[in-house]
Amino acid sequence: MMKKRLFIFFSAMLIVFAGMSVSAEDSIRISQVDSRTLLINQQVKAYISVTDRDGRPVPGLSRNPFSISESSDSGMKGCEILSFQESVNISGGINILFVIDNSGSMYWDSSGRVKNSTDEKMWRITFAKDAVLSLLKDMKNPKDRAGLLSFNVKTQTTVRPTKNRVEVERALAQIKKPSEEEAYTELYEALYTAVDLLKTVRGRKVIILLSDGQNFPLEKNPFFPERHSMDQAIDFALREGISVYTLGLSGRADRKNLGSIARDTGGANFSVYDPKRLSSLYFLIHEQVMGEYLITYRATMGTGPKRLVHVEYTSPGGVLSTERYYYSGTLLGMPQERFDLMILLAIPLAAAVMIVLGSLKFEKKKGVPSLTVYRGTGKRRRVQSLTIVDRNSVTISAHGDADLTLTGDSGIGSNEVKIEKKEDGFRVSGSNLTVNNRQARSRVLKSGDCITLGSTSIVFDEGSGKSPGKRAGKK
Amino acid sequence: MRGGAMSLAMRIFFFGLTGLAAGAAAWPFSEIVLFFQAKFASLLAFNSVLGVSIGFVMGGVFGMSEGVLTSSGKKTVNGGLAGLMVGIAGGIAGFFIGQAALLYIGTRLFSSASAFQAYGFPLSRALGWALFGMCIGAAEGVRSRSSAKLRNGLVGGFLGGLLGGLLVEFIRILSPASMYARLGGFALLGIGIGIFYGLVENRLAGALLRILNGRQRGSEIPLTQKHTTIGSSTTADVTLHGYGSITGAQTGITKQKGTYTVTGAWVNDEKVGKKALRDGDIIRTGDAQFQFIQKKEKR
Repeated sequence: MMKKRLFIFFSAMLIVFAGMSVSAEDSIRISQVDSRTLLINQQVKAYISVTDRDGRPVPGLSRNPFSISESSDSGMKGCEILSFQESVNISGGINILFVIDNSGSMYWDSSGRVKNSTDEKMWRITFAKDAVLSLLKDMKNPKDRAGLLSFNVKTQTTVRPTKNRVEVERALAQIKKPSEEEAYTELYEALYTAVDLLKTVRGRKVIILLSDGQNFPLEKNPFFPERHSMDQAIDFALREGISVYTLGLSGRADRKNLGSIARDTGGANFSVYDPKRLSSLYFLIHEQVMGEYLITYRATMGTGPKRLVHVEYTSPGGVLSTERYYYSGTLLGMPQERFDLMILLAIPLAAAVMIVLGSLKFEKKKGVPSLTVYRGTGKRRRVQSLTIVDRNSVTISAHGDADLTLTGDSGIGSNEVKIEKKEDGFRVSGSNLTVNNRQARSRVLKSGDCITLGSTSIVFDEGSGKSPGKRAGKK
Repeated sequence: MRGGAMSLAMRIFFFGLTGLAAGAAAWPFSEIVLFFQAKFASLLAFNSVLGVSIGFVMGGVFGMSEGVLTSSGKKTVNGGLAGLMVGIAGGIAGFFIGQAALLYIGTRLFSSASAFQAYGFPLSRALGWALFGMCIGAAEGVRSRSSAKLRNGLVGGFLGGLLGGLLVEFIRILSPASMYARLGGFALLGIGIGIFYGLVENRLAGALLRILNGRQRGSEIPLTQKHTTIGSSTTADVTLHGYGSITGAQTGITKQKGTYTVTGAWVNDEKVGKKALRDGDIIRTGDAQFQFIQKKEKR
């Protein structure tokens, strides 16, 4: 172990293009912001990486020298630190997805001068595989997960983050030299795919992206029908709280963009010329992640969907600070920029609706004498109205020659009902007549009386809004 | 549906309109609270105020609906007041239970942050709206002290709140910055609660009264309560106006084990003190005549 540490230290000393501060001071970085519980309990978790000049994490820090502020509608605002934890990634485990460039140039000689080396041991990819393998063997925490993704014109040898290291090792061995047609470098799509692969895993998530070239996409690539830019891939990683560490191998690596990817997602970028050093860098990244501090703080009441968080660390050598944006989400969306008083109009409008509804009496005004026929029940119920104002008599039966023919009701049979206008009012008569569920031969109808024919109800209405006053009594 | 009579289908439509008014009235309040979001000391305070104000308004409007439906001023005022109170409780309960659901269900179900933001968050909050709707729906049951109405309100409010809540939450994803999206959302929430209240009331009512004559001819009144009083008084459950010879609330229909019994009325042209009703029976009180319609028992 001691030997390995020394080796890491030694290797780290040799890093030429470290993506972090090159000053002799320590440096600080917010490597991940977890805002998932923000809208529930207003708490945000920030993973902080404090590293020394060699990129090694600084252990044993206390909460006191740290302070956190957040952007709000009225400028930066200080936040209360609720908890400060060290070694949280040891207790919680981490998830690393190794993303390895498998383009043709990875099969060049490690010196970069021999393009078609026959010596497999000298290939860049061999060093990369060995580096990942040795880190895998060193990841002893049973809570840790590792996954793998290689890419050229498409992504391949995909292993979802798993606790089973052997699976990853096996996939690593399966990475094969690409054919000529595959000789593209879909760097951004690979990153996007990697984020997609890692997003559903819980806990601290890290991508280590190794590339020895520039993004070199194939036009109309059938493997990526939907195109994503670098910014989209970065944004996706940001939303999913995944930090991307980038390793630029050889002088042809796209240092600028790999640097942006790392910086914007909270990772770190390392450039290396000699593939022999890859192993020490993989170990260093792992060590940085394991050395993170977790600060849980109470967020401000800002309204925007995106916020800036600012962390300050007062070290013996001075004040270090760092900033990052994170997606905070909103409750019920964004408020208006200016309050529009027109909105208040909705209240009288609602009141008007209620007043109109209240003034509708749902009542019948005075009308003409009529019959309402209710047939069937439930969904098959049918209601039909018939005025009898200009008639002296109305006949109702199942017959076609009746004034009101009721079809489809077998219970009616040959019964017929006749309603006639007489001096004392409308009189109903008929064989087998039932009015208000009572047998009758003939009777004068009053409003609301119900004639039953088979399973059909016929309700008589005299037409005036008011019921006749003295019609109370048995006929 | 014929003329101006209030059939059961129209009742549902009516409750939907009431819901629309409730949602529209709640919207400005939510906009105001949202506008001052940054001024709140904490999310807890913000959520409480949001819950209280939306609950207060929607509860009040829904509480009035029964009174407005029967054109009864007293019922409107009492219901509105009860609705305000229940709405406040409902608003707070809905928001906080929704938040709790968010914490315990949302974060477990959705491990991806963007999926959580896109689906987990709206889903959990819709559950909060459902609980909110449940409390709002319960207001009328609380006011009338009817367990059947309480049940209708709880079920209808829950379903309507869930559906309306999903619409509120997802409509803002479509256009997060538009206040009119929120107006649409609240309107749909209100309509959802109203319509489902009406639907559940309709489905769960074992029987109904159809008014056969007079001004309210054609209206259908679901018998949702254990005991329903009928009379000219505004305190009666079924208030009749424009009919002669009707006393305050002398007629009552009591439901017991699926059997409805009428007291103080004429049944099929016969004066009865107390009589078990059968489907199709004609009831008369004063000058008002009804038909009793019992749904087939599903057993």
